[in-house]
Amino acid sequence: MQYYESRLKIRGVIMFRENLKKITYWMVKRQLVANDEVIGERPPVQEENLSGNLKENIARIREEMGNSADLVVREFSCGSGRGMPVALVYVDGMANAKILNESAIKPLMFGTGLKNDACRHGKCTLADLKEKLLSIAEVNTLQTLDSLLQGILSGDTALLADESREALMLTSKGFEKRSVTEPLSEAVIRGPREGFTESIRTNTSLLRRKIKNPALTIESMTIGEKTRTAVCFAYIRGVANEELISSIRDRLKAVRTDAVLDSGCLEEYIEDAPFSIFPTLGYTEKPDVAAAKILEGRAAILVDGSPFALTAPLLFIEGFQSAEDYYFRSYYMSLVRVLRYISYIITIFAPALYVAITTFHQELLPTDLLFTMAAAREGIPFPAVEEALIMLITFEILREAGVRLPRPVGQALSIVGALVIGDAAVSAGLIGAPMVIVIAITAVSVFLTPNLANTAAILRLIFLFLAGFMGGYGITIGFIGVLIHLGSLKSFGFPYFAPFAPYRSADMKDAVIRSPLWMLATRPEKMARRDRKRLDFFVPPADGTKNEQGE
Amino acid sequence: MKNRFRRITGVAVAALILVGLTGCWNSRELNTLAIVMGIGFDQANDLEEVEITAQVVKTKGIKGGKNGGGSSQEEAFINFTEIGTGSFDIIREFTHVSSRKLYFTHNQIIVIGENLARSGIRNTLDMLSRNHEARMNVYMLVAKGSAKDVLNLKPELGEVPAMEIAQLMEAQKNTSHTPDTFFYEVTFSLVSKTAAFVIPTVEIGDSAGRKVLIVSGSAVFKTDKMVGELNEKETRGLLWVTDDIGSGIIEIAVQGVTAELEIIRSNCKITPEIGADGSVKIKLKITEESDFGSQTGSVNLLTMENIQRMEEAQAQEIRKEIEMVLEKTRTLNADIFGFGEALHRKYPHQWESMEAEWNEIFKALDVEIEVETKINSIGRIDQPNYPSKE
Repeated sequence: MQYYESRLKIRGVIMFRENLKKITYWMVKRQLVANDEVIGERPPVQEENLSGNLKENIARIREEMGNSADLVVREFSCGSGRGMPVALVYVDGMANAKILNESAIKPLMFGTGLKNDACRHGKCTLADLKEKLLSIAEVNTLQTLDSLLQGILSGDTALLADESREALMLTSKGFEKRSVTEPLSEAVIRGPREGFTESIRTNTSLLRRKIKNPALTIESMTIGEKTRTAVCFAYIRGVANEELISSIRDRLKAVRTDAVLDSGCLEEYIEDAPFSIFPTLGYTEKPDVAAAKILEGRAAILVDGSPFALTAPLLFIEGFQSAEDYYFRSYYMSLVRVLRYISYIITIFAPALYVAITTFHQELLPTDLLFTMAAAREGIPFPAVEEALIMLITFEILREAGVRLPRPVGQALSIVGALVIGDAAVSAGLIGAPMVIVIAITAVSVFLTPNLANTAAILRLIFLFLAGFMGGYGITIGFIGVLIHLGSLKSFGFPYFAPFAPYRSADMKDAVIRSPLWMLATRPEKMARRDRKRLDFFVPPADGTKNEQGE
Repeated sequence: MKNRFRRITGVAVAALILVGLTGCWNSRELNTLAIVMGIGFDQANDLEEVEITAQVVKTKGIKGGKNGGGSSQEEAFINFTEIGTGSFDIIREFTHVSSRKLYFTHNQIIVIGENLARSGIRNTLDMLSRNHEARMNVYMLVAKGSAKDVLNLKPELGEVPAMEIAQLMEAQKNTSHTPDTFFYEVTFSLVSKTAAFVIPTVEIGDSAGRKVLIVSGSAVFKTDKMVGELNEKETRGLLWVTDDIGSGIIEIAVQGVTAELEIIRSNCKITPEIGADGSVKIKLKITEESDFGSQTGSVNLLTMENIQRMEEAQAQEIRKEIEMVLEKTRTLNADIFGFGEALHRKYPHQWESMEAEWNEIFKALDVEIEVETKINSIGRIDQPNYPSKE
């Protein structure tokens, strides 16, 4: 009986999600179907092969590129005598002209690598050129116009020859890119300071440099009908779960969008719970963090043009972990981690609890504190819940303004903000002093868990409304709801709230506290199925002779 | 599709409205509360009526709040007084004089005027026992005179009389001359068939020309009526038996000088016995430990023999106090020690026949007192503060 009831409840939850899906589908359909006419139907792409005529091919390329100003077509003849007419096609600024001069044009014009008669009289093939003349590392052969365009738009150079239905793609990427700098969003006191950049190749190389292991696999694909952005995902073969990898691969392949400008654009297409306020994909700007996640059996998704790598799956507890936890000694970092949990609870519940206690449960306050609070509330024109709402909204406005503004202006803003929400509001009698303290502690606490900050802002408002309507009872209901939701969430098939629910004692070593590194002997349960062991157990120091077990 | 969407939106909107329409049941802003700190009950001139005094804090007057404080002229409290027949009704009647609704959860004391106490408190207190807002761990006091006057006296140290009295009650542990009786204890006693109880008394006295509140001694209640009073010594005699001794000073005379001992801990074991002939006997065994506090004279009391003498004198003193109160309660015929309850617990079957005539039995009750005392510590100096004789 109870079993069926619980099944019914589960069905209720699923129905709720299905209904949400239907509502959003209906809203999107309204955008796409105007006047009973489906807009934005894309014509199917047809493969067009290169023709055997050089002039014709060049004309087609120019046509496809719309005679863009930055398209460069360099026609010349290869070899001595009459030579063979060839053309180099590239996009100015994307390709490195120096490489082309030294390693392509020069050998092609004056090269002496070809000795046989056929070539001397301009009767050689592209394959001969590739083999004997071109001193460029990566050269690919291709047949279709589409792949040729894709190549030159990525910074490579196409070598076309007359009477050939093929083209050579010479790797010559040489566009401007930002150098590896210290990430702004994840500053550390101790630990590697390099951060990902916008160039996907730099990013993969940063990962490779952390994990010099052939098992580190980087799969690549192109996403975005218009932007054709390169997307990679990296994992360690044998450590990462195959189901996770195939699920990431399938979801990435299923993305149908025209633009991927940042990894954030991709995140919303592949996450597990699109309607949840909790993120189910992590992000990081630091290669060492990405490498650590990969080593735990996760996968990192890199997007060209974004210095943020996505990590999947994401667990709730990752919001409370930081890279430095593992670079400093464990005692202090365990304390800090406990503080992060406390501050997260404060930042979500403090305004709600204040409102609930001062408007519903005054008997919970110590008598003297009640007097102080009542005296401070004397003459305040707003009910406590509105007071809290005003302060929270003011704080969010100030925070948002401070983040977006250039730094010098941001400082001036914070002074104004501190004066306005701190002092002036109290002395003007608009806001009670205890409320300012509550909001201040709420605002400061949120910065301990930056990855969960956005979620906390929403939860805080929800709990505030519940507290305003129903007091402590409302907060309890909301809290139970959030716990149920957390328990039901999954990220790529992994329970989001693990290791708390489902409880996994083996993973508790790195949840609320951070055990010493030599005690973190296994990777997270279920994450890495086959290769779970991280290290052989020993208690430091390991001097080579006494590191047997039990010593 | 469209139909279903409408239905879902309908349900969602209804749910949202429902949340808003529930109102905020029991939600009260802090500045709409009249925080009651003390409540006093007196008999009105018309004997049928009760006069209730509610002491409400003026939060603006309390120091510490930013908007209040400072002005010493303004009093931090205000007393509202109403007369009527039913106490619940009277408390509601306060809305006529107070703009804010009385809020009882932080109530500190309940003061009962002597006249009302003598005529019975049962009916008056029913409302406070029943109401969810009123706390049970509230100090009860009996005012010699009227409760209204006690609550009206502005204290010199504190700001609110009721808080001052509550703090005085906390301090009474140091002398054990006053019981601390909580409201729930009175409620339990009121529903017990045999038990009598004591409530500390408070009166307005005079100290160096100023009017002050004095908390000392206690009023003895039988059923729900005050029948007599105990002085400080008698009250401590009671507290030895009920095991409510906190601390206190015992004065004894040994070797022609006076010594003062500080009570550290005390334990009392009540053992009722029914003899073969049906006679009831109560055995009290009191184990007390104390510290040597001070002495007069130049005789060194801290020799082995003298310490033993002091321990004996101390036991004697304690026995004397207990006998005093026993004598008093026999005349009042009030079992404030809970001997009846102890007997009930040990002899539940015999008790059934005894219950009806417990008053008679109590009057002639044989109480055997055994006191064992010990002096633990002698303090920093081990000689009297006189020049050495050698």
